[in-house]
Amino acid sequence: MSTEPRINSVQTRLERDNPSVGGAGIFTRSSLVAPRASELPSLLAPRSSELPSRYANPFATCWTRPGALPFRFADGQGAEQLVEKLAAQNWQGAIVGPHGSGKSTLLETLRPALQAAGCEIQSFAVRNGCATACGTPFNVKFKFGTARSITFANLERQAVPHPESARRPFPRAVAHTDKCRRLILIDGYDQLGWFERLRLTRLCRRQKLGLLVTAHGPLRIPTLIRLEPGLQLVQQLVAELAARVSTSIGAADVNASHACYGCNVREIFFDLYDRHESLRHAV
Amino acid sequence: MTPSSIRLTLDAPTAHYQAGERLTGRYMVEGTQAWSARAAELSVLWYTAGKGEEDMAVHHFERLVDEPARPLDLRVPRRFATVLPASPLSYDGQIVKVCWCVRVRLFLPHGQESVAETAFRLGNVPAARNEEPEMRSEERELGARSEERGARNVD
Repeated sequence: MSTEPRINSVQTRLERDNPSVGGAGIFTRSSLVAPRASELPSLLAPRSSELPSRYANPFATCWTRPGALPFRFADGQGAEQLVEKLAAQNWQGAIVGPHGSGKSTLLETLRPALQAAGCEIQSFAVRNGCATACGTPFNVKFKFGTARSITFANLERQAVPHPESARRPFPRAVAHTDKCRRLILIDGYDQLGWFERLRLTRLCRRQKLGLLVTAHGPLRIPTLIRLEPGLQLVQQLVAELAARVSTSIGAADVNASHACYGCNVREIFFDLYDRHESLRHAV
Repeated sequence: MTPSSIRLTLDAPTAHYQAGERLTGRYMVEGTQAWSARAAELSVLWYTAGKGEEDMAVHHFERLVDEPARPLDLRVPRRFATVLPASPLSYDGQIVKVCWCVRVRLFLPHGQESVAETAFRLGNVPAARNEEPEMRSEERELGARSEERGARNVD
């Protein structure tokens, strides 16, 4: 789930409808984006609890989506360690786990560490078999905002002519990847058909692109990490959310949700959202 | 500068407005380093909050920039005003909420930012009611009736 396309469309709409605010240096994207997770606690709470706001429910998407709630690593693990492991696996890795176990959240958490390691990232989210590009693309021909939904056939066509590789043989052009490796992130890799997966892995091999994917089960790509969140982690996450927005949800509710949904943290949050709403409206 | 030093107030004490009504207010920054802000942005916007996809749109936007010719001193209260649109109206639903707010974002030196937000209500759409307790009471009545019928049949 991502708000980025929405924000871009809002920005475009605003610039179109209000040309006076669309001038260079006057209208900026920064005012449109939702507050970052780090600054959310500092925001002033609404004047009255009767006003609809995100502060009404700590389990709303804005608090629980990937990126808003940081991934919790097991003891001794961290983003840097995983990036090192990915490098040791020749930049091929799969984050494996069941639905709602935090695969997308981990992918978002790894992004800054990968960029710090010198990776140039192109990420895709696969939903209903269609890959949607997110973030800065490799290629200048790949225009963000105008061609959002792409197929991997397009990726193959567009990823090959890297701006620096146009005038020299490809193996030399990718020699710089020791310092600046191009890495493809795919959220929902196993939703692709086998043929597209085959083409993609061949493309990555041929172009010496890194590939980091999320999937529900083991793949031919070596597993980077396997996620299985337990009750203790869920309790920690709920406590973290409750510290931002108060809730009357108790440990019994968390235990009951966990008993119903197991390690599907996303469904647990949805269930707790409903429980919180029921309690709130009952009061 | 601490984030709470932004003071953002709406003129209407109830923070309740109608479509087409004029929303007015003011904001200022308290503290000795108020002068150090490089820019300030004010947005009147709506967003959705709930279980699913999120949406948002900015209705009103203004940006103040610190320039040599016009230094930005936010210790002086800045007023803002905008006429509110006909939709979307505020809604406090169980699955989704439509929320309106005024947001001020300060751009400070070294890439730091500070944000303050004040919510308000647009329109009179009533909040969603929790049907569950009523359903439960109905279920109890139905259950009691069926028990009565069962008892009569036995008699």
